[in-house]
Amino acid sequence: MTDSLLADLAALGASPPAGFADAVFADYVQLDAVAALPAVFVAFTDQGICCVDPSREEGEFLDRFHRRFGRPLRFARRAPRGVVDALRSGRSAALRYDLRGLSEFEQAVLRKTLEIPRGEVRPYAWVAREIGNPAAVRATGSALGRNPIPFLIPCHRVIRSDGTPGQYGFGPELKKKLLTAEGYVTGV
Amino acid sequence: MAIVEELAVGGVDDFDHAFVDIVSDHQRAIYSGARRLTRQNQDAEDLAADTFLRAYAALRHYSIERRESLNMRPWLITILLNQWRNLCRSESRRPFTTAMSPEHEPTDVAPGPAVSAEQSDPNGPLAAALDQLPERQRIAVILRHVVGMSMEEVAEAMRCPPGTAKSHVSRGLQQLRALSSEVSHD
Repeated sequence: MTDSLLADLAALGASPPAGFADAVFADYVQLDAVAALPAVFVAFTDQGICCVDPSREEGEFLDRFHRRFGRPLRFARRAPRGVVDALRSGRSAALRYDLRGLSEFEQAVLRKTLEIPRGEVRPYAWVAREIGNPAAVRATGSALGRNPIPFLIPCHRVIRSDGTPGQYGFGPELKKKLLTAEGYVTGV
Repeated sequence: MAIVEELAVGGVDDFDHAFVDIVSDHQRAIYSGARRLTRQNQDAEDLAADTFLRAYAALRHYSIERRESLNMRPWLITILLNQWRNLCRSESRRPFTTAMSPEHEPTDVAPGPAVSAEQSDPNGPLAAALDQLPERQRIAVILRHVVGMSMEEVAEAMRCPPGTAKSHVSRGLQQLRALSSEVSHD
């Protein structure tokens, strides 16, 4: 009786489904510079792409990633399908993104920004208005400044209302360079 | 422990590399515990993943001495139990909240509730009977006999003396036999 009960209890143990570790780890690749884009590290989870980082050194990227995401990383052999093409073409709206850890407001800003096509720009106020918070122009700028997936989520296509590029986390020169490469003539 | 030593001497890459082994070595124990605590496979997967992420975040900030002194499995199980209690608190609408009350008394062992629980639990009569136990007994039995921990590890994970853990396990098994017997004679 006792042995049978203990054996039956032990039989209630189970291994997690295959791929369980994918819910714990993020994977990353390093991609070469393409056109105006610098070389980048791209990190992704089972939910989608979570980070694009133009750090020059791997250690710098790993350190930044760990501090922001608190998730262990594994080196991957290849990027998720479509990422390299999206970086080349600037058409990235169809990719899957993992925006967990961002506020609802930040996610709304980034999702709306994703709709801006290559070669076009929108003012910060347009993004704020489109997501239903017309007064939150400054907060929209802050949310874009915290964009963990630059280049793919094209925060560089959001500019000031007067047509000048405005601020950019990686420097205004890179923002101008990206916009010019996409065919937009920036104001001075 | 070799893994903890590896964590202690490694840099950033080694830390993550070592954590692959920690997940691999302990995922069955953590998932088994999570599955019996939540009674839902999907919830169990989320809870187990969250447990490892919490562990990772903590380990990154631990000193080498603290990492070296860790007994990994009971430490992970303690995190699992804390995460599970947080989950129960934040989702109190879930049906398993009846088993959460820390000091709740042994449940009625009359055949009626036992049988109805059995019918609603997709994992069978023993799992349903296990769910009828008071929380401390249920956790102790799960850790000792489903997860397969030693009594010392159970005590460490539950933050109680080994004698208390042993008593919880013993009384839990006794009640399980009584429940099984009542169901089989019903």
